[in-house]
Formats: sequence, C-alpha cells, structure tokens
Amino acid sequence: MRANEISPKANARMSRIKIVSRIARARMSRIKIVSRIARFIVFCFFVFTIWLMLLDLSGLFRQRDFDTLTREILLIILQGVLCVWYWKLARLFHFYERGLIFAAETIRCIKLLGLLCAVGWMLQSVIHILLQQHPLPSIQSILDHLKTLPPGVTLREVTVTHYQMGFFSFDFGTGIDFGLLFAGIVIVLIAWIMDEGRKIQEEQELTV
Amino acid sequence: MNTNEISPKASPRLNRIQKISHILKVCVFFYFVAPLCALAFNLKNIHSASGTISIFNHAYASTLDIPKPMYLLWATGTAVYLLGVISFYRLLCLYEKGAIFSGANVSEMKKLGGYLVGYGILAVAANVIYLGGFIFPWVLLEGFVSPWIVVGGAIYIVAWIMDEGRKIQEEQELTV
Repeated sequence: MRANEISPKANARMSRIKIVSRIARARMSRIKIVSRIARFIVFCFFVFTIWLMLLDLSGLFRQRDFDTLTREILLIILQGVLCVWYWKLARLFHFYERGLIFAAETIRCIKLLGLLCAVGWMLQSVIHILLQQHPLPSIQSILDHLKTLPPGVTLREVTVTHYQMGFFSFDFGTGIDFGLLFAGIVIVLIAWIMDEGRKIQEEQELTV
Repeated sequence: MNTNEISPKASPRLNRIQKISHILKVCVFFYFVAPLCALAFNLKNIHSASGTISIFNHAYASTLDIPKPMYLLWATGTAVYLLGVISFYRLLCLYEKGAIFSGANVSEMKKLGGYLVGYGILAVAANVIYLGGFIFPWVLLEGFVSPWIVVGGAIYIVAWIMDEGRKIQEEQELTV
C-alpha cells in the first residue's frame, strides 16, 4: 500500500464525516431560511409600531390638558419600548441567521428582551397610577356641570363589580397587572441559566 | 479526575443554576396557585348577579348573556393555560436537574410556544363570537398583532432553532 493512499477503514470514516457535514449544512441552511422569514415578519411589526407611534405623536400637539398630555407622552414612550423590543427580536434572529445559536451575544440579546418587558411593565404601572390619581369625571361633577337635569331624565348610580377571567395576568388586588413583569423576570433568568450552561460547556471543552 | 466528573469550577455554576431554578419554581408555583386559592376562599363573597363577567376580555352583564360557544372556548382556554403552566414547570425542573441544552428541554419550550399560540387563536375566535361575525380586516389584524401569537410564535421558532443547533453540535461531537 502506498503512503499517500487512504486506508479502507479511514475511507469509511471520511465518507461518514462527509455525510454528517452535509446534514449539518442542510440544517444550517434551514435555520438561515427560517430566521430570515422570522426577521422579516418582526421587522414588519416594528414598522407598524413606528407608524402607530408617529400617528400618536401627530395627535399629541392638539392636547391642551396637562394630565392627558402626560398620559399620551407615557403611552408614546411605551410604544417606543415596544419598537426597541421588536428591533432586538429581529437582531436575535439575525444572530441565528449568522449561526450564533448559543453564543454570548445571542444570550445577551434574550436578556435585554426580558429587561425591556420589565421596563414596559413599569411604564404601564405609571400610566395606571396616573389614571387612578386623575380619574374620569364622576357623576357628581357631571351634575355640577349640568346644574339641572333635563325634564324626564332621572339619574341612577349603580355600582358594578367586574369579574375577569384572565390568563397569565394577576393584579393581586392592586389593579396593576404583574404578568408582564413576571414574564420579564422569567426571560432574564432563563437567559442567565442558558449563559451559565454555555460557560460550563466552554470550560469542559477546554478541560483535557 | 474521572472524565465523567464535572470540573470543580463548573460545579459551583451548576449549583447556582439549580438554586435559582428551584427558587423560580417556587415563585411560579405561588404565582399561579395563590390567586386560585384566593378565589376559592372568596367564592362565597362573589355574587355574579350584581356584577359583570368577562371572558377573554369581553364583558357580559350576566351568565345568561354568554353564548354557548364561549363556554367551550373558555374551557379549552383553561385547559391550554393549565398545560402551559405544567410545561413551564417541567422546563424549570429540567433546569434544576442540570439539563440546559437537552432535547427534552427544547421540546418543553416548543410546547410552551405552541400553547401560547393556541391561546392567542382562541382569543381571536372569542372575539369573532363576541362581535357576532368575521369583520374582515380588523379580526385578521387583531390576530396578526395578538401578543400571544407573536410571543408564542417567537418562542416556538427560537426553540426550533436551538433544537437544530443542538443536533448539529451532537452530530459534530459524534463524528471522529
């Protein structure tokens, strides 16, 4: 047997390597296609949210009341957070497209998505508190404004209790939905667990 | 040192993962079970005759006003919700065991994403029933931008990509 020739045993191994790399390449191209489609869809959402934000911004200049103006500004900031969330999600799919599946950048991106959820919850809570401090006009204030009721019109005040069948959204009697905060914390912690797992794997690969 | 042993440096990391997963598991348990317990204990104080009942964020004045298909959707929604909670709990159990990038793990993530999408579809169906028909662009748009469908879909795709990445890694490790 010549020195340059590949032995039959090594040849079988070589063909196995070729098959495995072909499968890996096929899987990678599938990941790339799916990530590209997902990135395009998320980008459409991003553009749609920006369009809504611009619409709200154009209506902002017509507001005269200070409370309404504050609420509107906070709502626009909330939409801005949603925009950043979509942008980061698109970036996450971009990383996947590049083949960075368990990389540090990818996990950092997931962490940021969780943090943005928590920020969104904070803004929502502030809007809720503002609405509680400056509620809609009461019946008494409407009566004061009208002075006298039109003939034939009687006023009746009814207290209504509201029962809501909501999922993943609990307010614990505060009126503020903790669902988004919970989702944010969970995303950050899962990303942290993934990061630690990645570090363990890296360390084990380096251990000989 | 045995080859199967986890290195001393990796061990504290694994311990930390296990500890955090355990805390998260307890938090999840309380987050989902505590409101149900509170509801069960206050069941006597709830008078549905004097209030409104809301299913999938659609308010009804009394139980008589709720259409029959809405009950079916509500029951399916509850089942999907419970399955989602179980799936999430299982995922945390796997993390606690130290299985971070395993097949079972990714499968639970996929399931969770699927349940979220399913719940979103049920919410859109409830909206169609509430409106009394399919109002063409709006119902479709609501379904398209539903947070359940968007987030669930994203989780499902991320889990699928992670699964493919894991398979590639495994195949490469097995190739000698």
